Formats: sequence, structure tokens, C-alpha cells
Amino acid sequence: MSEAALLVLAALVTLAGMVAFALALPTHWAQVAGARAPLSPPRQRWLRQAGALALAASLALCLAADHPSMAVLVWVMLLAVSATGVAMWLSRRPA
Amino acid sequence: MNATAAPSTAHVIGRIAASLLGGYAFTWGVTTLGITGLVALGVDYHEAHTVLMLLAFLVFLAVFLWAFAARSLTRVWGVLGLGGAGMTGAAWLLQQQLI
Amino acid sequence: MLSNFRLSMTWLHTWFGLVLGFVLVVVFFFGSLSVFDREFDRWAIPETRFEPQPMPSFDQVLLPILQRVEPDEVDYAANMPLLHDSAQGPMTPRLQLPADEFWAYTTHRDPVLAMGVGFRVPQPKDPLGHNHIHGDTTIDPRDGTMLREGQQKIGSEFFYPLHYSLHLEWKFIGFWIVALAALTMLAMLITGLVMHRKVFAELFTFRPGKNPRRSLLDLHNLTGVVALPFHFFFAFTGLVIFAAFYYLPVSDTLLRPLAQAHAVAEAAATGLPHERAGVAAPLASVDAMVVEAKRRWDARGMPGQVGFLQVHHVGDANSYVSIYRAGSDRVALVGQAVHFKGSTGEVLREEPAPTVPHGIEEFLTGLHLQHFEHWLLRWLYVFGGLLGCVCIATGFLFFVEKRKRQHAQQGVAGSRVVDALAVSTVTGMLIATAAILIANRVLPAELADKGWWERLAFWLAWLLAAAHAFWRSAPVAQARPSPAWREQCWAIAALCPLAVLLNWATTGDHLGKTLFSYWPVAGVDLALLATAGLAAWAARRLARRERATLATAPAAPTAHRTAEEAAHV
Repeated sequence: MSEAALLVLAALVTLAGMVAFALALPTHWAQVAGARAPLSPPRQRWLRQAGALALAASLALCLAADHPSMAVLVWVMLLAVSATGVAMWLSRRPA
Repeated sequence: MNATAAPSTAHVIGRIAASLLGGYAFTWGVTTLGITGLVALGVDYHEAHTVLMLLAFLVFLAVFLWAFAARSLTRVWGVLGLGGAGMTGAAWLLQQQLI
Repeated sequence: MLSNFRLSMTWLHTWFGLVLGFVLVVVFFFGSLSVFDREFDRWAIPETRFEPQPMPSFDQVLLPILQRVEPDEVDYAANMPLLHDSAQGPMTPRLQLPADEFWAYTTHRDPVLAMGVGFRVPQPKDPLGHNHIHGDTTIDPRDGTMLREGQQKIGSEFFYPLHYSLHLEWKFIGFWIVALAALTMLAMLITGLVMHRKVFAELFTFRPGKNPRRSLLDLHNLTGVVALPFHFFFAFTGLVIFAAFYYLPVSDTLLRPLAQAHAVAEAAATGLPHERAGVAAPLASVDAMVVEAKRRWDARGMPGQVGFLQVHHVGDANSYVSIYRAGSDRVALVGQAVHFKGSTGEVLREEPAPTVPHGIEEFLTGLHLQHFEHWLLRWLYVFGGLLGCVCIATGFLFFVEKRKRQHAQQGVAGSRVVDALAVSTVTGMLIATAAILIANRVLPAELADKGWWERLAFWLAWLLAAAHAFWRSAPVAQARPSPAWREQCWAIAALCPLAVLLNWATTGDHLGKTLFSYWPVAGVDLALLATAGLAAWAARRLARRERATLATAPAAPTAHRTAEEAAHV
């Protein structure tokens, strides 16, 4: 896989991970699922684990794309972009 | 100094001076004593210098925050000012032994 | 200082953040522009709009040029009297200073090559010191022609030094102010964490629909936390980079004897002579040395191009040539130097792999100085830097929002002044940036010292923006928004596209062409257009909010205050 393709995939996977972490927070879960289905502890755990797995996977993808010293920086910055993106998306939904 | 009342302007200026000037003096002391100390232990000068350049601003940051967190301004001046001067003096003495 | 730890840290965050924030936002913004400094250079100097070139032949192209470079007049006038020992005789005339050091530098982003000469002061006051008068030039590596004098590289020679020294050179005071701002940044991050207890629970929280104080605080927290490692490491590494030379120059002061002893021992150990021998000797083929250096890098599994080349003790028997590899494929800077004996071309020393402390330092400084070739990471850096600007700007806005009603009632001008300063800094710096780019296109290329006029345009535009900001700030004293924000946003929305149009008009390079053939210029034009779009959107939202504020009666202190907000000083 080319470097560019790996990085695009890493970005998408990081975003998915951040979405999972956000939905693991009751306030944001409620924004997406509504008041009908409150966030159950098992689901919260699952979301957090999925999020962690996604972030680990995106780190692996970054390391596959570049020299380790650069890969780590790319990954840290992707975390920032993804978290910001998720926050902006959630800010458009009713509180 | 009564720590529960709002601090006077003079006190605030004193804190800021202590955090910056005292902090700088302390950092200078740690840096020079750190380098000469490591060299005395057999570390190459260049290595010792690099290590301390990396640590110096973490030290400055820590004492800078402490200068505002500490209750007694007198203690802050004592530790940072005297400590800095003391360490610098010790570094100079140690250097005399090394060259 | 105050009755508990959290209150003291809050005080520190508020007041140091406010005062140093004005410097920090400038550092962050021009630092973000500096990620693409060489691309701005291409935009500003159209004759350099060609593809990056590898370093050309030293023997055929660079050496003849280096032998024609003269010591800079300004440098000579300023520094020769300081370096020359008048007890030993009259000052050597500028054009008779002997060359002591040659250097040449190239990066994967630079079409042009920077090079220069360090001229020796024959009778120095301090023989152990670095006694050089400099002469620099920039050339087109394809044919060796020098760049016309007086043309300023707006990116690498203006925006970039602005971010680390504010262009305040007197006694390096600008460096110290930026250092204080950097230390403050580190303190702001720590104190911010102390204040913001729900870091994880509120990681994704941004409520634009709530009252301004809440939305601003949300955005301030968000932009500070999500990029916290970035903000911390940039401030920290910025300090580390200049530590040895400016902030903690221990090797030149208290520990000079120890440092000198080491330098002498190192020279003996490495075989790289510290002093001239005083015996003349010719220079062997440097091209052959380059070939050997590349062969050795390849053998170590790191093939590469020459990034930096230096000839020490020019013309002397002790002359040696240091050839450094361009660090484009990793974070650490140029390194893996190979040193050659100048007169014979034999290898004197191949730098070993760095020790752990040096490796860490190389990584940290390389992370900040960005010699690497990775376009995504560069854009991510710009994003991080702009996030930092938003963090600081929302800090100012929150400060004003929190106090303006109280100040309006008490007749205190504090909020008004802070708001005017915020406009002057935030939108003001954007206006000044557009102004310098416009001036660059409007002023003729042949203008002597064109760079001076461009800088004048920059500072004048900024001054005008500040004057406008203060002039229009009266409503803040009545707890209403200042129209200066909206008006300066409109100015940005007009000036940025004007710069793009002028680029087209004066060079023929428009986006339709550059998007497919020359990304550096397309990138700058696109960034200008995006900025204009954002500014126009902001201006319209601000207009809507101003109309809404005029329509409703001045609000009583909001009922939405949380315990956390109340805790803020």
C-alpha cells in the first residue's frame, strides 16, 4: 500500500476511534441516540475498548507509512484533528 | 503574609520577580552544577551539556509554578535565590577542580 | 500566593495568559506560517519559482562564487570594531578580510541554494572567540546566477525570524520576550489542566448555542486540550533550541574554561583541527568528497543528499570539509556528517551514531525545525498552530466577556482596552500579513532594498489596524461588542483575494495554472482565499450578533453560570 493510502486509512481509523470515545460519554451518547436508550455500562466499556483498539491500529498504520520518528508525530497530530472534528460534529447536534 | 487576604500589589510584584528572576537563578545553578557534577563523574562535557539543556526548562517550569503555589514568599526567595547562587558557586568551585 | 493551590494557579493562568498571550498568539501564528516559509519565499520572489535542485558541483559552480562573495557592509560596520584588537594595528579593510569558512545549505523544498563565507578578523581581541564577519548569497543552482540584492524572502527571512525574535534585535531582547512567552505557554498548559477538572468528560464538549462565555470557554478548553502535546512540545523545544546560545550560555560564561578544555581535547580525539596551522595549502576536489560521503551513507543504510556543506580553515593546511546529510526522511536534523582533510580529500572522521542524550536532542530540535519531507505532517503542524491561536484568542475573548458588564457598571476601561488589544493582535496581524504580500506584488522588483519597503508596509498596516481597533472600541465600555472585529474581518476578506489577484496580474501565475504545475504558489494562494472565506463568514456572524445585541436589552448576568466559571478569578 502506498504511503498516502496508509495515511488516509490511518486518519479514518483515528476518526472512528475518537467517535467511539465520544459516544462512550453519556452526554454525547444522548445527543446521538436520544433519551430513548441511555448508555449502559457494558456498551460504554465496549465503546472505550473499540476506541482504544482503533487508535492502536491507526498508530500501526502510521508506523507502516513512515520512519518511526515521523510516524509518532503524525499519529499525535491525527488525534488532535480527529478529536476536533468529532467535537465540531457533535456541536451541531442538539445538546 | 496573611495568605487568605488578597495580596498587595507589592506582594504580587515580589512573586512575579521571584518566579522569573529567582527561577532563572535557580535554573542557572542547576544547569552549571549539573554539568560540572556529571563531568566530575566522568561524563563527556558535550553529553553533560546536552542533558542539562534538555532538563533546564523543565526545572524552570517547576520552580516557576512553585513560586506561585508556595505560601511564603520569603521561602521562595530563599530557595530560588540562595539555592541558585549556592549551586552556581559550587559549580564554579567544582570546575576549578576539574581543569 | 492565594488561599489555595487551585486559586493561585488560576490567578497565574489569567494574568500571565493575558499579558504574554499577545506575544504568544503572534509567535504561534507566524510560526504556523513558517511551516511553509520557503513556499512564501517562492511566492514573493517569482524568479525562484522552479523545482528544488540537488546541491550542484562545488568545484565547478559553488567555489568560484564563494571566492567572489564580499563581507557584508552592515555586518562589517557593526562588528569589526567589536572584534578587532586596535592595539595590534589598524582595522583590516572590508575587502581584504581573508576567507576562513565556506558553507552551503539546501533543503528538499528550496529551489535556490543559500551559501556564504565567514571572513576572519586577522587581529582579534579574543583569539578563542568566533571572530567572523559574514557574507551571504543565494543562487540559482542551475546556472550559478546570484539572486538580485534587496529581495526579501518573506517567509524564511521575515515571518520565520518574527516568530522567534519579534525582529527586536537590540541586545536580543526579542528572543528573551519570546522565551518568556514560551515559558508562560508551558505554565498555561499545566495551570489550565489544574483549573479544568473534567478534562476527559469534556474532551469533545463545544456548545456554540449557549451564552458567549460558555461557548468561548468550551472552545478555549477544546483547542488547548486536544493539541496539548503539540502546544507543550513546540514551546518546550523552542526553548531548548536557543538554550545554549541565548538563554543559558554557560559554555561562554561560567563554564568557559571547562568548555574550552573539552574543545581542545575533542579536536585531538576527533582529528578535526580547532585552529589554523598558519601554513597555506590548496583545497582538493570537494566533489570527490561528496561522492565518498554519499557512498558511506548508503553503506550505513541511509542513502541521502547533501544538506549542508562546510569548509573550515579555508586555504590552510589544517583545513577540513564537513559534509552533512539532509534530514528529509526522519525527524532528526541534518546529521551523519563525514569530515575530510581539505588538502588531500582523505576521510578524517565519520560521525558515529548519536548517544542517547544527543539522539533525544536531535529528535526534539528536529521536531520543531522540520527539515523532514512529509507534506501531511506539515499541514497537521499548521492545524496545530492555528488551534493554538484559537486557544489564545478565545482566552482574550473570555476574559472580556466575563468582565465587561461589571466594568461597564463600574466605569472601568479594562475590558475595552483588552478587547481593543485583542483586535489589534488577532485580526491586526492577519491584515499586516496580507499587506506585506500585497506590497511585495505592487512594488517593482528592481526597487533597491525592496525588503525594507515591504517591512514598512507590514508594520504600518498593523499600526493602522491597532489604531482602528482602539478608535472603534467604545461600545465595549457599555458591554456591547466592538464593531472593529467585524470591520477588520471584512478588511481581511478584501485584502487576501487582492493579493491573489496581484500575483496573477504581476506574474501570470494563477490558480488554474499553479494547481497543476507549481504547488508552493498554489498553496499560498489557496490559503489566502480560504482565509478570506473564513473572515467573510466570521464578519457576517458578528454582524448578526451585533444586531441581536442591539435588539435585546442589556442582559442581566446570565443564569447559566456553572460552579467552574465562578471559580475563575
